[in-house]
Amino acid sequence: MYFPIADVVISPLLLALLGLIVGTMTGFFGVGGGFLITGGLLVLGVPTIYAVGTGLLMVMGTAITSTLRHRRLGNVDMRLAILIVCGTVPGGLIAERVNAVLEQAGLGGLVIGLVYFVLLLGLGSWMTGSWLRRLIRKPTGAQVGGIAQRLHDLRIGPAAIWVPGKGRVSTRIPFPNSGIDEMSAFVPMAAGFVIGFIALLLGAGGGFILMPFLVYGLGVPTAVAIGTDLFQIIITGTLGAFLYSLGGHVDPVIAIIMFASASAGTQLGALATRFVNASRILGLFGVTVLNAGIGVGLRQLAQLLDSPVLAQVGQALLLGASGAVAVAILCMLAVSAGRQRRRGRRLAMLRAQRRRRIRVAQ
Amino acid sequence: MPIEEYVMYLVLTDFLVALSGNAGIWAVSVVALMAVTAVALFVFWDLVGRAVSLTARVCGSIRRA
Repeated sequence: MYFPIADVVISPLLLALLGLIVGTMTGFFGVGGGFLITGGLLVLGVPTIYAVGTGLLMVMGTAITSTLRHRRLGNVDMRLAILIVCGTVPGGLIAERVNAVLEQAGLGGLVIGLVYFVLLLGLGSWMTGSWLRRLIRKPTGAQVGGIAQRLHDLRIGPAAIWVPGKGRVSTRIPFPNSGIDEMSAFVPMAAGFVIGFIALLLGAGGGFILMPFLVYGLGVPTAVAIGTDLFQIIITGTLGAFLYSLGGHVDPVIAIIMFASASAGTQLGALATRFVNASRILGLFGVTVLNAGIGVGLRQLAQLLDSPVLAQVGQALLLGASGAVAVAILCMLAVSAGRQRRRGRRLAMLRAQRRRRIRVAQ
Repeated sequence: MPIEEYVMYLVLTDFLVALSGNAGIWAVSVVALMAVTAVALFVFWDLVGRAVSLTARVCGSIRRA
């Protein structure tokens, strides 16, 4: 099929398959999947600038569907999400200016590639390491709790602000949905600012930084962290998609074909978070981020060595491993749902036996 | 591809190319289109989910009866 805006011919079936993989991971991990969509579209032959722009539009769509789904499951802390977004917007706008300055200096590609590589590799290896340590029974819970407690107790900015109609209001507020008794409102705002800056500097949604920060930094339960993080991705995704659309670098037909199948994947991924335990979600997320880091590293190395084969290997690794993770998520969902169904049947059988015994006794 | 479908495809292609020439309208329409599609697909899958659980419940009660 010919796509006139991006001026490229791609099979819609391949687009739908890529969408399904991305959608499943978005619903399950709470990340927009920008790194995966852009990489996948590049492999399918879409020019780089269109791949980034179309990817951001798709990130926005999947984030909207997933947030609605997670809100229905009670996984979105709106108070925390709005405070994070208050910091994300100025951070993103500053990043756009920095990006323009870097581009003018001719350092854009190099700096962004390096920051992306270091962040993904560092975050991925740390999360995978912490998951493996927990698997071999050396819990790191005390450390995580310590960081979260320190951030909850942190006092930054004024202790109270004046609100019209309410007078002086304390800036230390509770976040009951996230299980936080009290925390300064400036902590999520500052975190949102830093994450918004990094996200728009890299041209991503920022979910791969915010989700671990919420879990490990603030001690938010994993399911709530996923839902809250997706709300923030809607804002960064919309901002990015709008800016790229102004330049005419977005193909909505490609995005909508991918999104149609991704929406089915997001439903399944979000449903799977109810059955799969938090530690396994974080472990799989760590493996995915680590794999993305290796993929980005190979792409950077391919640029340096001017080797198209290495670039293709990097993209194939990124897509292949992500596809395997998506299949693993769907298998875990099927196994857990089957187990729950068998448990339900066994319970119904026990109840029937008990009723029969009571009847016989009477 | 049948000729009617081909003509429709060409008309759609021309329309998209013409609209992308106007940056402001194009950006707003693209973002709005995606937002509307996202909400519509969420409602669709939600209805599918409800229909599936209702069917399962009805089948279960028939089997029990």
